[in-house]
Amino acid sequence: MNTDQIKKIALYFGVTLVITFVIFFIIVKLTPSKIQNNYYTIEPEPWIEETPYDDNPKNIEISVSRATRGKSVMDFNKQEYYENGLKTLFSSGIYYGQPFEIVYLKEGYKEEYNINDYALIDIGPKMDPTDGIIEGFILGKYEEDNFVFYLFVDEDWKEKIEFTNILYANDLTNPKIKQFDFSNFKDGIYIDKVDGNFDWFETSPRKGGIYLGEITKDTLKLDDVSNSNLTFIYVR
Amino acid sequence: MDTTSPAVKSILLIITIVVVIGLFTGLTNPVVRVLLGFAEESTLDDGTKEKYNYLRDINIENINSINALLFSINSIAHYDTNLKTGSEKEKFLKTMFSDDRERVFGNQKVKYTYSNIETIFFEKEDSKELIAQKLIDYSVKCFFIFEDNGQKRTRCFQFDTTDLTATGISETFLVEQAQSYKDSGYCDDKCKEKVDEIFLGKFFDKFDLATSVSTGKELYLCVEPKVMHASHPFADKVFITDKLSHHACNSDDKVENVIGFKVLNFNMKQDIGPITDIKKFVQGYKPNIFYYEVADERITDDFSANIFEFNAGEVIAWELLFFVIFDAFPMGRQIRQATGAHLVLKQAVKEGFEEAAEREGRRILQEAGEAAVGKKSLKQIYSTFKEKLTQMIGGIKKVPREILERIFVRGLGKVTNKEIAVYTKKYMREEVQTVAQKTVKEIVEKGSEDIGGEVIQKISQRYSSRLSEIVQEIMTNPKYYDASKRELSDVGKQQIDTLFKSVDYGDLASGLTPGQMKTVIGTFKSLDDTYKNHLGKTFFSKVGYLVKRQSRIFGKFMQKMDTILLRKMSKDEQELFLKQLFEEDAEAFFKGVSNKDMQRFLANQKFSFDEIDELVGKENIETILRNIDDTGLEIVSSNAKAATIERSLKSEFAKRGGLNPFQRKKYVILATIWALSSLNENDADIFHPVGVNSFGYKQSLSTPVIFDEILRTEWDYSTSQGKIDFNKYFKYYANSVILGKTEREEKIDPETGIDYEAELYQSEKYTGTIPQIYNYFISLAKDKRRFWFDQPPERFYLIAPCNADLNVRLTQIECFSKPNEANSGINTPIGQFFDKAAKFETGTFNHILDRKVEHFDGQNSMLYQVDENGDIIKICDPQNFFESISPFDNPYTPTTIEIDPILDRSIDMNYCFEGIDDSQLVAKGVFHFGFPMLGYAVGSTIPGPGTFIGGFIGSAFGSIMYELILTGAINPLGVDIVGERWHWPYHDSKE
Repeated sequence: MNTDQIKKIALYFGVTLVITFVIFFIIVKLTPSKIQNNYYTIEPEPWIEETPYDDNPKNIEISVSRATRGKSVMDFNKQEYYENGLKTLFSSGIYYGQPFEIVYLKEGYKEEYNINDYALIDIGPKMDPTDGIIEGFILGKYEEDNFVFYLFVDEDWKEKIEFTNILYANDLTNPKIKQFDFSNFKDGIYIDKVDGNFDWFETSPRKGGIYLGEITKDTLKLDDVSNSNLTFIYVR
Repeated sequence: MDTTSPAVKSILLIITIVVVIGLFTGLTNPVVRVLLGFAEESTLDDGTKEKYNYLRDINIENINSINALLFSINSIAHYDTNLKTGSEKEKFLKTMFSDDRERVFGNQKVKYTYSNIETIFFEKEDSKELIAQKLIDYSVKCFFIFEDNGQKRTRCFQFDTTDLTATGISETFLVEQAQSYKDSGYCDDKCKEKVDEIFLGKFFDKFDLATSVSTGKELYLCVEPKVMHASHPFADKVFITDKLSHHACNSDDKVENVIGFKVLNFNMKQDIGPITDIKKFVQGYKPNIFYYEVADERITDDFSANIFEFNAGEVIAWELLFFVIFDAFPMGRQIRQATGAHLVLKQAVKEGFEEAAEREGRRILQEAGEAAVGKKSLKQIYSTFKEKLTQMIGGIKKVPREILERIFVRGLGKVTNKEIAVYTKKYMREEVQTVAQKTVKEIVEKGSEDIGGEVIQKISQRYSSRLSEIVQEIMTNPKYYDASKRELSDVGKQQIDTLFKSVDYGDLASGLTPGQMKTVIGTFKSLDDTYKNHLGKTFFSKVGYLVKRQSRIFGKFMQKMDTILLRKMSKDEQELFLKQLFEEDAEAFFKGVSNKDMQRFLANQKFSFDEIDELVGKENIETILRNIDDTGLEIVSSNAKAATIERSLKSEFAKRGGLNPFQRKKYVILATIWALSSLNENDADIFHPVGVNSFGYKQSLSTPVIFDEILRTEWDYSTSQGKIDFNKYFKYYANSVILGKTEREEKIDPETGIDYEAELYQSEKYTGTIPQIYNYFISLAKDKRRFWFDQPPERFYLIAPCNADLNVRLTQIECFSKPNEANSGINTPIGQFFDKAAKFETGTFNHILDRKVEHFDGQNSMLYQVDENGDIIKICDPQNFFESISPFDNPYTPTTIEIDPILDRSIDMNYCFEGIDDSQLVAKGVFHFGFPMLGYAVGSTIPGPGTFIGGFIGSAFGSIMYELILTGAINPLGVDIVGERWHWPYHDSKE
């Protein structure tokens, strides 16, 4: 082969290579990749994640972000949902008739003490099913166009709370109630779900909500639960 | 939307400030003369100039800080309400901020971020290795998210490095740590595969640490697919960057972005000074406050509860008032821009002021000084000043509304400059003269005799005891009684015994030894904690409110009693006094109210002779009433309001029996004084609400500077002109600088010496709010990462001095309570007075405003109140567990712009929302509540009058100690700041 032929071949080769690359880039750029659910799973178990960054190897955290495809984050006792406009879901609780937000502490707690040593019940996505603290969390999320709630309680909850009902409604004057199903669990965390065409968080004042724990329809008739000795958590 | 009242109040503000400052200091202080524009800066001597510059710098810092915050709030409202599409939103951010997402306001910086990105915090104790592990872990997660998102550009997490202490985290270090992470036990097979691919791959570089990992830097974790950027054509790549505008973070899903802001170095300064002498003790410290719509009642309490309300000395050190008025205050600017009328106004104010204040002001100061020498009582002099100043401000409120409306609301074009000058001069001259003359007369008279000290002392002691009983009454509510008994048993008899043995009550006057104080505080901290843990903060705030409210009523009542006691009034004086009481005060309160309604109203006040006897003491009442000559009672007999009041007291008189007509009249006087004191108690003197959609900046003596939407009510973003207006507003907002876009060098015209571009820029700048803020509530969070539990929603305010980084974000909050017009007393033609406490729901007709009030956000209900000016104030109450624990109440959930200040903890005098530190908080609890309660507890163990005695000792001692500590007169807790003792600010938000 003479030099010209070599040049020609090199040119053809170069041009072909460039065209191949261009086609490759176009194909890559234009080919829509499929939306997947490998990390953002449909099923709730993978949302329960280990927490490698604290001292307690038994701690777990329910990833709100992972459960909601990154559309929602927790802000202490509030779940902020950024889809179809901002929605905020507020967590609270009643412990033996006494109100609390996030955590109920036994007497004697001081700021310099470790909260975990004084916590009796705790609401939130972080849990340790073996620490003796009753822990529960209610997570709201869209599943396609339907808004549903997942409810998580730990082993301590199961042991210490007398009975666990889920009371839910778009309007509390007409609630539905069901027993918590303890059959689905992972790493000491029990999971249940309610689906009720929920939209109570779209209006103000809010008339509906989700209640979890020692609650019945009769509890709704109480004007004051302070003497009831009931324990439950709720999202409004 | 009612925009009239803010405008009226705005001009009231100007006049009030000018009058007050002018009267007391303007003519005597060179700095103030310069600040008011009556003298040139060059006339100041070196020392004064230094002070002037110092105050000017403080003021500039404050105004820049407020502007930076208002800009952030406005931007969120604009972004969330007006901007509908992703491209609109992106354009706004690109136009209004530098490439680093910043906007600069002097020393303050505003930076935007997105609230809807999950934030990962680096903790103080996190080692270098742990930080690396977090970065690797989240990079892997981000890659999984990227794949789930269909391999589109993905912005996954942001890292908050505020508390980061570890250093030396480089890309090489991360790669080194990747293997350790794989072996950590927290990485499953899929994870290991991804770590290999991202960090340990041999062919393509799939990870880029595009910035250093250091404290204070925000970091973003994003993934970009191959081909999308020339830097990585063949491999998807993870980026850690400090720029949200980084190409990898430019995700396609912009519409859902929710914008948030950080205001860096917000710095609301106040020159407080050290407390070193009795003068400062008497004068007190009034913190400046910046607040939304209306200042929280607990804070206004603190402004009004103390008897020494005014600090004339501080006025001298006041911050550049005219600068505030004409540069930070929209109304002033409107005048300036539109007509140049500000010059006329300024001149008119100056002339009216000089005419009246030059003459009268000097005389007041001089004669008050002479009176002070005679009386040797600073307390009395300041008390008198306070009273007169209040009267004067009250007088200013009487400026005919229609005049002000005509001048400032119905259009500047419809009124001539001459009219402005005439009205202002006329007003200034008349009001200042009238008040000044009264002041002088009464100061001189008041100095003449002082015969009532002993009686007043007796009454105060009695009152202290009664207040203790009121607290006890709450405690004996069955609901709390059992709890308190149970809790008190935990404190233990031994502790109580120890406490009482350690304190020599006979030696209170000389104070407690440090050892005694330590014991007292230790014991009561335990008691305080116990109570708070069990009964909660609502209980304490409830009791605190009751005590303060009662104290205020009592204080006002005693002020009048004091007048009767301190003077043996002549017939003429009695006549004057009673005329004032019935023909001015009572008439003003009950003007336009039918007798029937008035009686119903008085009945609602639950006036009781027995209660007055209890509070003041029957024998003391007799002493007081003896000073009223029977002949002076003719006024009572002939006054229609007095007659109605007498009729409404029918059942009370029946209980007494056997009172002769003259005694009855005296009791009518007493009842009227009490009723008026009670009616007036909520009117925290010079602390006005500023109305819906407005912010007030309240300084020591002034009515608030108001930041509202008055310049922007006509702007409609849906029109082209509206878009231009909004664009200009945000672009030129308050002289801020968009780095790389609007910073500029001086361009002085050589012929005229004028920088025309600067003039243009100056003329376009605005402050205030935009009307879209109407849709939102503005709330305060209190350093949530630090104090994260049990934070009920709270109206926004900040107390000076305040140095903090503010996080400003969009959220919703929960508001409870229900409409309660029924509790408002009676509906009358002047209903706003009686309906002050009423709560109304939007979407319904309001009889006071005579219109339906639409929902603030156009769709959802919220509660509101109507203030005395007819302005709307949005209401968001926390759940009241004091009354009942009901988790089934339906909450209102307004969309809210939340401001969360992260305080600079290295600064000692830095309040913002805290007010006092923990040790001070303990003392407050101990002295204000602990002592009365312990008195009760101890007393309840003793048969007979033990409760009373215990309560008395507790409350008397507690009150005295608390006041002494509050004012910095003693310092038992050793709160020693740079060798000085300081006043405590009069609020405490941690309760």
